[in-house]
Amino acid sequence: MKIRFLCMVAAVALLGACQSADETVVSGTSASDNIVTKAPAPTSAKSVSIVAGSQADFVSNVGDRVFFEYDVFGLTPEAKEQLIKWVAFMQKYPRNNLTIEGHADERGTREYNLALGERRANSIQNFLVSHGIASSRLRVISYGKERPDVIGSNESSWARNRRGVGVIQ
Amino acid sequence: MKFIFFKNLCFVAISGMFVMPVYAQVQIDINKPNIHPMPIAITRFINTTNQGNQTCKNVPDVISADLERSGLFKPIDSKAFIQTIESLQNQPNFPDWKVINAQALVNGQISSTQDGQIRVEFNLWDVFAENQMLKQSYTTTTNGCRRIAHIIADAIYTRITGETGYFDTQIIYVSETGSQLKRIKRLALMDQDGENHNFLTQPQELVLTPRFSPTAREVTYLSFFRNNPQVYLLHLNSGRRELLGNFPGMTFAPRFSPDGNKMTMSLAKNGNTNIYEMDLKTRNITRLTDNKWINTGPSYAPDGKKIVFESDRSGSQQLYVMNIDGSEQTRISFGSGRYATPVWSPRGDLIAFTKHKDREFFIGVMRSDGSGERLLAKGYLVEGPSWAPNGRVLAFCRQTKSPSSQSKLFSVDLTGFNEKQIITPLDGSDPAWSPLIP
Amino acid sequence: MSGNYDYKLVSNNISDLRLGLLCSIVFHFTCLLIVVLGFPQLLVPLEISEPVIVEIAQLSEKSQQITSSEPKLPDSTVEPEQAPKPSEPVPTPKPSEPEQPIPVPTPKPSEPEQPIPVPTPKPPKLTPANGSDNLSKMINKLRDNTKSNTSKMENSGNLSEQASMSDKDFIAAQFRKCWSFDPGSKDINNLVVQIHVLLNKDGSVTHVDIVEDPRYHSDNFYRSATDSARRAVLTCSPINLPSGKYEALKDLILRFDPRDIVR
Repeated sequence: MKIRFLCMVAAVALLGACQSADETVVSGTSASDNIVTKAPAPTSAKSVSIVAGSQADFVSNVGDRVFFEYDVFGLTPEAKEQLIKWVAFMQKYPRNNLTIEGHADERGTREYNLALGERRANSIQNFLVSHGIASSRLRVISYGKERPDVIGSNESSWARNRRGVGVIQ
Repeated sequence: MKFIFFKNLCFVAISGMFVMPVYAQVQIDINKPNIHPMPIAITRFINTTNQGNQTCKNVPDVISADLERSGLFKPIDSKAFIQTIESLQNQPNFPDWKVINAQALVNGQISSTQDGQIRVEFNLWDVFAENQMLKQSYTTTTNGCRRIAHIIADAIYTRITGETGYFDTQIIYVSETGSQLKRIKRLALMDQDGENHNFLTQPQELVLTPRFSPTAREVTYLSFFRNNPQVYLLHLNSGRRELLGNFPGMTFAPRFSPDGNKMTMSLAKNGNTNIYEMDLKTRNITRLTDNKWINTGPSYAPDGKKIVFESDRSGSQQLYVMNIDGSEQTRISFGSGRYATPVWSPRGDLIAFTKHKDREFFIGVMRSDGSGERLLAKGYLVEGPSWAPNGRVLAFCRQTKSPSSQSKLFSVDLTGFNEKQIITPLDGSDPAWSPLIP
Repeated sequence: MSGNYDYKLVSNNISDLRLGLLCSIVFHFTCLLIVVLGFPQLLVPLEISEPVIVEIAQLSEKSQQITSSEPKLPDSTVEPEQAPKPSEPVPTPKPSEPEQPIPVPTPKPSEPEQPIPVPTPKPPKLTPANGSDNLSKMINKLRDNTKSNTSKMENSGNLSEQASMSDKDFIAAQFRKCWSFDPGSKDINNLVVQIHVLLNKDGSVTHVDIVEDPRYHSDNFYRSATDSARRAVLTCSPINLPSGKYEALKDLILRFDPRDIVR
């Protein structure tokens, strides 16, 4: 039990590390619009103390997000590749449920972005279902442009904010 | 006919030969008027209350600020006044006011009533025509002074411009603070001039797009309460709130019908967003659009017979008008760019919208058939216009670029003049103007 | 189709010609008659064809009625029944009382305020707001602009005493300067108002009234447009008159048309 608790603490700490890494990128992009940001997925984090099947596991070993083109909700080949891994993860941990968040960048009106976020989350859901995940295990929610991942009014920030995020429940 | 012709001919001949020129009235056409705010003198009100000089002392200042903010009036500095306030009580000496070019004059009196209330009385004079345009009085308690001042400002505005006033109103909006990554958004309510500011919801609850009911006593909005984005109804008198409907997906973009008996909103489900109408008494739901696109932002015409909304069925966001039963969905926007968040003017003649074109956003208006587009404001991100109840002024939100991103409320006159920030304690977005407070 | 039309035109022309001939004969005959008999009886048609003057009297009478009845409009005096409470927007969850009535300052008429009539026939002596330098410049400019037009359009020997286009433009320019209009008015295309103005020799306004339109009493926008036009006239007094044109310009109908307001 104690060990498990420690694991969780470690996982949380790791998550925190990821987040602060993100924020560094943020300040980088804000300093100059031209800086190309690093790949957003937390890179090769050690899974030493991560609970298998947890959100932390999902984030660090699978990658919890896929990205979309501007004003598009269809999945890119990269996104599909990524979602195949989600399918595997969901199959590996059949007791997990998944909430799919849809997000949009700031360049759109509020209501439209809510609808667009729902479309994006729905695209992901459809993909997962078509690959055998029971729809009862999936839930979609759109945040529109309300919860960006990075701050910035430039292409790279927008690209990172147009995303679908999986949250293990 | 021939006879008349004959007579005219005779007259022409005769007058040409024998009669001196007759000077008839000369008609002269005068066009291209100026757009100058009207100079108006608003004097201190005589105070005869038994509660001291300070009672309702701010009334003329509030009136003055309201009128000036409209952009249609220019209050004159009281230092320029010649006639004393005391002698003005008897009768204005109009030449004194003409000299300082005051076209209108407001004076008044604050007195006590027998039952301990305060009576505020005012006169509005047309200085050059030398007549009284308005005389009204109101009674109130001490803390009603601001409201009385707004009501008086409305009366003056109406008498001079012909428009209904909009000063005795409130604005509900989303107050914003904290990091852009996890913005804290709360409903906040204030008087139209920023006074009497109050928060209505808790910081941990993400809320968006509040809209007033026609009585101004209910508000509908989108809340992410328990991570389930749904439309809620908030009763301002009781503070009670309720979830509207039991929809199988996210509901958003709510708006009341002009009679307050119905509500329209969007439901996003399975990647499609369609528009629904709910009868608030029976809670019956009618589906108004039915396709695989995004149909949202519905707003009723003031007669309640049509709804304007946005849809991307053509490939990009455009504005459409449909009958109240969903029939005859007709596209009205054909300019280049995307059109969103349409709002029908309470006056009925115009539709305000957000336009997105070439990496810029605009607030604009067009006639309800889509003609006569005019853009009133622009910026990196401006959106979400809301009409003042007289259909004359629009409130909207302006967000600046990151990293120093700020979100502030602004108002702009229908003519595109007089853009002004609406001061809020924190950042703000999604303003909604109340109807005149009943 | 067009052939028929042409034919009709031609036939009309023929009858016109005949009519002209007839008229010519009559005209000459009339002249003869006048020479022989003098013309007292023939003044009758002259009176008939001078309805303009009659109209003036009607107009001013009617519009004076308007102005004097104006302050009796329903919004003259109101007093709210209830004390309007301050807007109390804090919806702190109160124990839901049965519908607390919101403070309604329902205005009800109180002491009928004796309207101050609006007889404006005092000539308001005002210093003109515009520098006379500018004005004279403008006069010259306007004269120059319109000279050629006038000479083409009016060949009458009485040119100096009639109001020419340039005279009208000159007057219009002055009133325009004093006229401010709210460009956001609803239905701006339908707010043309007419003001009847009588001038003194020095160009001061001796009388101003509103050419009657029932909308003055029913349409707030129209009333406001009318008031703004009247204010323009009064604010502008006195105006500069082109020299020697007083007789021709003393009685004006000013038609204020806000449609092409500069936005």
